[in-house]
Amino acid sequence: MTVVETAPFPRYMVCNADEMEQGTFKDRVLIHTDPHQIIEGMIIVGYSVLAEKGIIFIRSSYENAARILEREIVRAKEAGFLGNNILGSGFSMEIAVHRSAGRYICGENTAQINAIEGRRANPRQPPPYSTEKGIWGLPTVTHNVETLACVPHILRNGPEWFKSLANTPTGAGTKLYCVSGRVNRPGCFELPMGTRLSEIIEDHAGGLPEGCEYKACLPGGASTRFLPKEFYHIEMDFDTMKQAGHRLGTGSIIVFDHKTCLVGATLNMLEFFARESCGWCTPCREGLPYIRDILALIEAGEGREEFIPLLRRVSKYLWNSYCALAPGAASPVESLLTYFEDEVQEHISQRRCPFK
Amino acid sequence: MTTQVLFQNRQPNRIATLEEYRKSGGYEALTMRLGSTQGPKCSRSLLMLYFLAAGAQVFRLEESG
Repeated sequence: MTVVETAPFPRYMVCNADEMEQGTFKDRVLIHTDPHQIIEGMIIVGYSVLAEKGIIFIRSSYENAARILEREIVRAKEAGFLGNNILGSGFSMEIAVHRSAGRYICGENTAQINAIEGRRANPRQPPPYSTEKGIWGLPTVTHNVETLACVPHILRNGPEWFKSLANTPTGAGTKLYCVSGRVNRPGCFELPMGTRLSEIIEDHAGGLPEGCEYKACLPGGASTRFLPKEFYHIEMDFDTMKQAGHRLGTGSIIVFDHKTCLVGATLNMLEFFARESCGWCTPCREGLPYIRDILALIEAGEGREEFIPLLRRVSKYLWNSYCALAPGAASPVESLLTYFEDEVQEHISQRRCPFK
Repeated sequence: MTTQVLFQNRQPNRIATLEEYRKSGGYEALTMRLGSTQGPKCSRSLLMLYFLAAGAQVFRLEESG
C-alpha cells in the first residue's frame, strides 16, 4: 500500500516561492514572465496525488508577484482549469496565495508548514515526513517554482525530450541560471542544464568589466562553496558539481573579481545568516554570530593567528544543527579557508583589509 | 540561441497572458491527464520519472513507513 492510496484527505500541494537565497531571483522572473506554467504544474501534481488544496507560499516582499498569481488563478478558474470538477474530470482543486512571514527560514520545508499553520517558523524533525503528516497533520507535497513550471512541458513532450535538452548525460532539461555580482549583464538566463560556468559568464552575462579578472563565484546562492579559478570551465549541473565537491544549489551565480575582498563578502553573508537563524538549535543560534564576529575582527584588522583554526572548528559544529540553514552558512566560510586562506592570512599579518 | 522552454513566452516588460500560454500549448498537458482513463496513478509514474531524471529531491510519495 502507498501513502497516495491510503493517506487521509484533504491533501495539500505547496509551491515554495519563498525565494530569499542571496543572488537568487529566478522564481520572481518566472512569475513575472509566464505564471500559468506554475499554476498548471501545481494542478497536474495536485491531481497525481489527489491534493485538492494548493498553496503558493510566496516571499512577503514579492507583493507584485503575489498579486499577479492571485489574478491569474482567478483567470485559470474562469477558464475551467481550477475549482470544482476541473474539465469534467471529477477532480477539484483550489489554489491560495500565502504571503511568507518574511524570514529566510520560512523557505525550509518543515518550517514552512509551521508558518502556514500560523506558528513560529521553526523547522520540524522528520519522521514523520510532510508527505505523511504535513499541514495540519495531513499529507503535503512541496515543490519549488522552477520544478513545477517544468511539469507541463515534460508531460506534453515526454521525459526523453526533456533529458535531451541538457548538455550532460546525467542532467535533464534547461536550468534558470541567475547571474549577479561583477559582470556586465546580470540577469536570469535559461540555458541547457550543464552549461559551462565560463560560457554562462562570458557569453550570456557579458563577461567581467574591463580590468577585472575572475577570482571566484558562489555557484548556487550564498549557501554554496566558493568556486575558484580552477573550476571556471566546470559544467553546471547537479552531478558534475557534486563530483567536484560542490553544490549547484539554486544555480544562482554571484561573481567576484580579483579586487573584491572575500573575507568581507563572507562576512556580509554571515551577517545575513546570523540574523535569519530561527534560534531553535544551539549550533546555529550561537555558532553563526560567533563566526560573524570573528570575521568582522579579521576584516577590521584585529584578527589573530589562532582565529583561522578556530573558524575551522566552529564551522564544523554548524553541521550538527537541526536544519540546513547552518550547514549552508558554513559552506562559504569553509571554502574561504580552503581556497583563500592566504587572503585571510594577509588580513591578519597586515592588520588591515588589503583590498581597502 | 538555445531552446527556451520556461521562457518561450517571455516578453519585454509584460506578463504572458492566459491566451498566449494556451497558444503555446499551455494546459494541453492538464487536459490530456485529466481526460486520461488511466487516472492519477499514471501521472504519478510520469512525475516520478521526471523528478528522478531532473535530479530533484523526491519526497516519499510511494512509501508508507
